[in-house]
Amino acid sequence: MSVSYQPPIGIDSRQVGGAPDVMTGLNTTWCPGCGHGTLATLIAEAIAELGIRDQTILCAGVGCGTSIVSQIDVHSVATPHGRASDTATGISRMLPDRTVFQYSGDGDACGIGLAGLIHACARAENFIVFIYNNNVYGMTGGQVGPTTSPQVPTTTFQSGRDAAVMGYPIDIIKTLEPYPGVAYSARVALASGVLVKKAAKTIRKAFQIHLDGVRGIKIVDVLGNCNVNWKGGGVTFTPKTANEFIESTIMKNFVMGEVRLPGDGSKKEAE
Amino acid sequence: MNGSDFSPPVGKPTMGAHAMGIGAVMAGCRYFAGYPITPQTEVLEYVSQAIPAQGGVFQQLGDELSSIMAVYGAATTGERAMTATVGPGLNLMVEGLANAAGAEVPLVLGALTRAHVGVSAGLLPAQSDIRMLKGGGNGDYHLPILAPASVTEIARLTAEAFDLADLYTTPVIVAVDGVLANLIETLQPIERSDRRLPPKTWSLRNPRSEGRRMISAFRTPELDTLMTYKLQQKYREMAAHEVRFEAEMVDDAEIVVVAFGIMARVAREAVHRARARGIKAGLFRPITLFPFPETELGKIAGGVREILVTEINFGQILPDVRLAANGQCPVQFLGQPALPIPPAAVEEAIVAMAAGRTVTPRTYKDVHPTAWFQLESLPDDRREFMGAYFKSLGAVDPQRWLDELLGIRPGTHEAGGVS
Repeated sequence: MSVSYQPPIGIDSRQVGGAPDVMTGLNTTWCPGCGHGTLATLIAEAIAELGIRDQTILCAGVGCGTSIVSQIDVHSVATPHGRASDTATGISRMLPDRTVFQYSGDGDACGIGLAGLIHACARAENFIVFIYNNNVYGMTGGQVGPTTSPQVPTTTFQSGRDAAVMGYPIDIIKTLEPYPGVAYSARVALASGVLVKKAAKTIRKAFQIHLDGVRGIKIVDVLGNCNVNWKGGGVTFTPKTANEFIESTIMKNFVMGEVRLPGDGSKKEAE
Repeated sequence: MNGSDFSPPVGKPTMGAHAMGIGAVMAGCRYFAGYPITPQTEVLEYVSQAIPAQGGVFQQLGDELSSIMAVYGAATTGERAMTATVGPGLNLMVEGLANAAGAEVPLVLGALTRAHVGVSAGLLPAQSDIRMLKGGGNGDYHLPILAPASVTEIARLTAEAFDLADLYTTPVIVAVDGVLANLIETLQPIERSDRRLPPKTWSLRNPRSEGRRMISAFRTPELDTLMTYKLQQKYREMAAHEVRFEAEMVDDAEIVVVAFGIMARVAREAVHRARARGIKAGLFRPITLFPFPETELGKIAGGVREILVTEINFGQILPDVRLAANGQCPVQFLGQPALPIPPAAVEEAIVAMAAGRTVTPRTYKDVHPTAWFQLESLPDDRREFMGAYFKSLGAVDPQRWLDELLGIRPGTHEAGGVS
């Protein structure tokens, strides 16, 4: 069952962000305080700033993130769970002049869709990938996932990821570091105003590199909260404490900043 | 004329799998993605050169899931796109088929069918994937299934599959058994379709300035319900307009054999032999397995004494035939899990039916008369079975060989066990 978040009366959600022509203004199904809305707005702003609304194609995976098709007003394709990289491959091969971007959650991209994503990077497919990485299967209620940090409370491993059974999280940006088919890779977080500004710049840069004609995958992994469904073992979060938890704990488990930059595989020091 | 101006190699010896590629190129297929699997590899090898030569893109992707979803993606842009695979690969592709059906994305799948359950060792030709092709994925969807019976027909129906896909905005399957896939015949002239097709106003190629396009198998619960109704309407239209079949010597027939693909050719031979013996036999060959020629076969069933269905499986179009016959006449079945049934066996079945007898089922020994070892049935104990297998390969002490292979030390059988 989906519960629609209603913005306060008199507020057009489009006016919250800076891209009224790219946002649809429809109600979202995202929970209050969730970073999906922030990320969708940042992407819409980048599209608006670069003036590429009419040439952009959105390819969404399955998860909470799927709702982005109702938020960003561009041509879009929704795929089955984990198949966004494959579908984006077919679209971008047939329409090479368009800007195709994949929007997935961490479960979609790094769990069920990992093979498709890595093969797309190996083949140096030419599209952009945004992953909203909240370390959990949020849509289904907060189960452990391939990227879950040991400290995140989940409904299937209530005191956190049990390393003896579930091992350790996948760091997709680190995993993809050696691939020459990756033109740009970076990880950002949406945990504070400063970090959101940084994320906005990174997202814009991914689009810009694509528009500059650099072939290959441009991938940005975006750490965000799941303040509602980080709830295993009776733990509760508010949007504020959830974002603090990202900064204090989750960010320490993952490489942050830019990892691959366009050029001959040159790398920038991770932050 | 729909498709490209490519001229097929008419008059040249052509393999069935290559003919599938020829059909795709004739139809103007611009994108082909696949993953190698026997006996589909010849399709890949053909289109890997032929499609890029026409300005299209050929890709080999990580697996069958990726292949069908990339084809789905390519098709959303309005280009003609195709993939091909075999049973175990179909297991992975049903996800893409169900979603393309629900999202109304036109694409073509070449299904080359082989034998047995799961991955299986034999690589023997069969028709055992038809039941899966008829459904397979989740939800109330159907896909048109075209079943050619010659190399030329493979090319023609593959080309036509793209028209059907565009007309009904649906995935379409061309089902070719492993015999036809590797059969080499002289390619005959191929008629080109000139069906009028609707413009692809839904595709992502259309400019955004003319309105946003969204392609998805999921919308809202209510819209998905409406879409499921819309799909059923589409299937009724297919049943009304797209049914194809061939009937031979059925007008005066007392026994009609129903068969498709390579078995239709075997059955034709058997029917001719039965006629030579004075038995009034006829042949009914469904070319579309969905929509099934239910009404047409139903009319025939009303005027015959008995129907024989023969397939290289254990009866996968048999339920369709029974529904079509609707109790008007008895329906008997002759099938085996792998390899074509010889014409003599089908002839024998017709003769038995003419004499009012029940058809004798085909046994393991009928299928593999010269197998390494002759078993009545598989031993319940898998250990004993593997021992028999290794003995058949000439092992001096098969049990020890097997133990070494499985890393079991002597005297630990009870402790270790073999599952």
